[in-house]
Amino acid sequence: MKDKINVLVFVFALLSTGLGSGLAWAAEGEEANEPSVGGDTATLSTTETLTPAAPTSILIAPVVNHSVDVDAPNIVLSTLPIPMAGRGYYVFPVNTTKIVLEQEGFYEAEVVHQQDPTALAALFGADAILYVVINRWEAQYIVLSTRVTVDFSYRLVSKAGEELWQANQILSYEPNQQNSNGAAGLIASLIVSAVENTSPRYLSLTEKANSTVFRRSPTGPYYVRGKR
Amino acid sequence: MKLLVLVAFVFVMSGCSRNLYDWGGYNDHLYDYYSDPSTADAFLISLEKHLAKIESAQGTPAPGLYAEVGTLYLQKGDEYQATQFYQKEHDAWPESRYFMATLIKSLNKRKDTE
Repeated sequence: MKDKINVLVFVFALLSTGLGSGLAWAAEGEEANEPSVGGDTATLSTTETLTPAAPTSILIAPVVNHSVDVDAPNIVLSTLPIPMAGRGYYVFPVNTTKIVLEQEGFYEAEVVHQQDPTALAALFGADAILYVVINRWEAQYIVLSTRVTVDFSYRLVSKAGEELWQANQILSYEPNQQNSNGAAGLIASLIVSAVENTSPRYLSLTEKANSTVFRRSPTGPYYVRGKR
Repeated sequence: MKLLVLVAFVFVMSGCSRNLYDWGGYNDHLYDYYSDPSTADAFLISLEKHLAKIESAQGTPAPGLYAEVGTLYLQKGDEYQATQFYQKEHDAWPESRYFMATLIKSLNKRKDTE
């Protein structure tokens, strides 16, 4: 009985790495970690069903911004390639993408998001598009401290226009209040909140939102469990 | 039993610390570049150096990095180097081939009409 418990504990420890690894695409004929060069043409027998080809490459569209901070979309954009590639996809270079879209006349992220996904994907040869929207990106000054809040929406859409995955994440950060007595303590707190540079806070909240959300996103052909 | 749990834990954790690709601080440099476009040259140099290191170790370059170097060169007016790096991306990643071929073709066309 004791041996059985030992085995169970060991198996549980191994399985716990699998938790939150997300969905795996059940595409036919695809092996994990092997680059797919393109679909093979095959004749289907009447007993086979055609499953949609799993995406291997993702275009990260410029980020739509509903906040008043004009720097926010580029900051968020810079945080997306690494986690998205970590889910096992080829990710198109975001800076190159942005510049090419601008050359095509698409200067506004909103306009890019409104384009037909099939046409947009075809421009790059992408299998799917990641759309990210900043709903909130704000610092609220609450008496003696600053609360920083971010709120993002994520959508993964196939080149056929099918929504593959979507998520929403809201995160806030507010420093712990020190219980200081007297006027000196109050003034110190006011100074701290006034001079605090919120930029690193926004960045770390964004990265945390991404990692939380991508843990539940579908994985691609290059995904390796335990690696990011 | 405790030893077994510990061994399993170490086994599991040792896998979690490794990255799929070595990005060479790409996200930090990109952030800096977007915050201050005058850091374009530093961005280019750091990326190129990082990729040379990956090449000499015969490792896999992270997706898109070669192409980003190409675009930074293009913005400096160096179309030759841009083409070289777009070609490297093309060769390293099959998924990039359509896009890279399009960029290379348009650059070559520009060269021919000059």
